[in-house]
Amino acid sequence: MNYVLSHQEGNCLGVTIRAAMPLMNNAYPVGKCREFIETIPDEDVRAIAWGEYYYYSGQAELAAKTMEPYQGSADPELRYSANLVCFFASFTRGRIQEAMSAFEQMQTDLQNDLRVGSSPALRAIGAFAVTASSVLLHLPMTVDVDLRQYISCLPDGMKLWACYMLAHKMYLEQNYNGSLAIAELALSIHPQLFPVAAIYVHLVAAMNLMSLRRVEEAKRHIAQAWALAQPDDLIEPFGEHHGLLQGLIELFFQKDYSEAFEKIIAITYSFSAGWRKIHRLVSRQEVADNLTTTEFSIAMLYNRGWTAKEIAAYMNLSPRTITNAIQIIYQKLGISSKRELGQFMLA
Amino acid sequence: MQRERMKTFRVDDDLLTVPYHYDEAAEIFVGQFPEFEAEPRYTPNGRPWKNVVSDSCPYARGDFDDCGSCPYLIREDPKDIIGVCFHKGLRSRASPKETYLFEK
Repeated sequence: MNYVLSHQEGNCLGVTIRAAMPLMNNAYPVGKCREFIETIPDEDVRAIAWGEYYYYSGQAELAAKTMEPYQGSADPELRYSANLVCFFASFTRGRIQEAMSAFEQMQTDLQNDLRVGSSPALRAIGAFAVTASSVLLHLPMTVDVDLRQYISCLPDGMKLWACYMLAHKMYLEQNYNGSLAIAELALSIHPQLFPVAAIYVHLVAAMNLMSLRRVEEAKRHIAQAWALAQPDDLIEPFGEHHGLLQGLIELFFQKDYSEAFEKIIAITYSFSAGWRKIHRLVSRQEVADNLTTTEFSIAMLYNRGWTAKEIAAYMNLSPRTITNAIQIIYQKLGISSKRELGQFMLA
Repeated sequence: MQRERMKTFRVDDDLLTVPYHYDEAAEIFVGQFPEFEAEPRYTPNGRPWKNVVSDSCPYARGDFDDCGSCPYLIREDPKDIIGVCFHKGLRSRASPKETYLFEK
């Protein structure tokens, strides 16, 4: 089977996108991700796809090493892709300066593309990369661009991931129903399954459902995301979203997928450590940084108005355990009320 | 380095001692506080001890549903995570003497 034939190309006003985020943009058969990458004929595009794969599978060092040679590539599609992956990989590696450098490069490239009137397709890739970095890491953008104006120019895989990004932004604005609607619509209208993008969309749907206290539906989305991720070891997205999933990782993985759970927690610690460093630097807001992953999940739920008894029932723990955990959380954060807890937690 | 210590809380003529142990990961001493909902304790003046994480009661004031955000909870130090509720509605009938802070 020639997987390359299924590669989705974006096309806007006659300009074709051929090299941007090739793995995200491919409807490869689940479980055949690595085989698909090997069939990509273009050596550079293949390297970018491997870089993506290493990142999604929790191998940030390898991802960065693979992508670094392309961060200054003359091909803007390769350059945007390399900088976007390096940006995220740098958080997991604790390299904040490198992350910021990649972010600056993407913003500079986009500014140039907007100024010189590059093709809409290229501007769409730039808007995609800069918006992704900005929204997901809560960084202010210096470029005035609205991704929604460019979505139609993106290939289907990136289009789906752009929906995830817009849904994530809406989630942060606490519009959970609106965000959920985007996610569910995005999943339903794509005729082909783009595994990488679909994993992320399922996760943002689960985040919203948890916030709406529709736990059983949230579990179903986690299960669907895992069904797409597990055969190809695409574990990184679960670690990235651990806190926002509000205990779902513990509930779904800890008992039945203990090995994956350990990996996810390791990713969570390294990714969130990098995230906090930059968030604190940019926003100057306090973020809970000395909690265990389980404590963070409990704190998220408690901050959202769940009682200790409700959290206990949901996490299969005793109410006493939860009360003790909240008291430890308070002591670690140096706080003494729910009012103060809200200052340390995200929406 | 000492890994265990005790701390005594003084509120409303009562003394309550709590053991603390050093949490290596968090690098702070963490107290093992009683859960007053399960094991109620009253001061000599008949007022109940409360954990700040306890759900608020019908007498509570404020925008949050926990004792820690309620002005009736009096603590030795505002950062303490236990205190004594000074609302008369929760006072034990067996209280030996009348002292008022807020309830009048």
